[in-house]
Amino acid sequence: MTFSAGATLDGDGANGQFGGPPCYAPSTYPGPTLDVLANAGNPGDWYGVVTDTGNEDGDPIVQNATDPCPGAYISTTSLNLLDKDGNPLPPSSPFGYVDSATVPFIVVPPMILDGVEAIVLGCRAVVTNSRTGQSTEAVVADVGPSDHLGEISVACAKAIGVPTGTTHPADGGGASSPTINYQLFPGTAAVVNGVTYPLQAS
Amino acid sequence: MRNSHLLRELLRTFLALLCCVFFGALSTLTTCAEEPSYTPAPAPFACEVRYHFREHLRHAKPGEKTVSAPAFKREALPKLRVADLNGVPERIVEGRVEHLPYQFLVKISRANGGSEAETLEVNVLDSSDKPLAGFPQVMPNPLTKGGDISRKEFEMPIDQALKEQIEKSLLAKEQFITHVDLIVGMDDDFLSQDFPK
Repeated sequence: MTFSAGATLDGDGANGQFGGPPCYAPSTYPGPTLDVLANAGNPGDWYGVVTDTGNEDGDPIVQNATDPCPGAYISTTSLNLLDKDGNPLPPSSPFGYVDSATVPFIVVPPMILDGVEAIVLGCRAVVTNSRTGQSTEAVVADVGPSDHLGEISVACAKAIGVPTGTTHPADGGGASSPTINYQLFPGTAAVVNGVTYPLQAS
Repeated sequence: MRNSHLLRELLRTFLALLCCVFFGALSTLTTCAEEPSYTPAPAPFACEVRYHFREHLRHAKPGEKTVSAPAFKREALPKLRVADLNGVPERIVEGRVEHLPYQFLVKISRANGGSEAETLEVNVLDSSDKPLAGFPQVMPNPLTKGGDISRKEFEMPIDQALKEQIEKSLLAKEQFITHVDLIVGMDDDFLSQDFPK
């Protein structure tokens, strides 16, 4: 499956797993974050981070001293990662999601998940920027809005030369022109940076 | 005799050429010295408003992510124009977009007759011509066309009524606004023909 589109940037899933910045953190957090906190929600309506109750009206879980990014919230991707034994990690694990800051991934609308027979979430993708000629291996790791095609992680943007924002890389960046070519291999598990990703049926 | 005549002619021609070169160079130098110093206009830039949103994923199974990744709709501000401030060119974008009751003014200029570094000035006024909270913002211009920083984002406050109005007029069912910001950029993609400003 191939298509060409622009690219908006998705910072979700970044929890400092590999030393990069988190996607979201309280306003008191001293370091940089990939995205504006408003994209995670507001008190009483936290739609973009993991909460203590698992519901949007709960309080966001803050990473503790033993977690990769103490003080940051836990941001999620639709693709859930597994532990060493192949079991799902708990929702509150910062390692349970794909790190936008360091892993090239792409986002697809629900119609692609539903309309393709083979499994798409976790499958291999190759993303190429025809403007720069740069290309990268990627994994399909998140689900976007139903009317939006063309979205990539911050790491993917950096790998193929798509501009990022200044204060928040995921917020101001992206490619307006349909110069990004997306090649998907449904049913084939992605291998990115030596990590094999699980295929996840939707 | 013929040889000495030829030599004299050659010498005369050579001296004439030398004079031409000398006076030509002198004339060029004089012109350069008299020309006023030229201040180039700042690099072109463009501005757009981004309406960031997510979508509720109603078919998500228990334990799965229930909202989509964020995305945005956008509206371009009017085209850039070059103004002249006491002989120093500055670039200005000003105007409105369809879905916000705001007036925008974005300017890149040089202070003190063009002798100082570039300044980026951003102001957003509400419908009663008062600046929104957090505006105006004036800073050394952080943007470069091909450098690491080619875009700068400015988050704008929107109240609940305006949020609902934007959702109704701009978004599909199950989608909701998370925030709105103004992006100023000068890289090739941002200035591209695919999204004329």
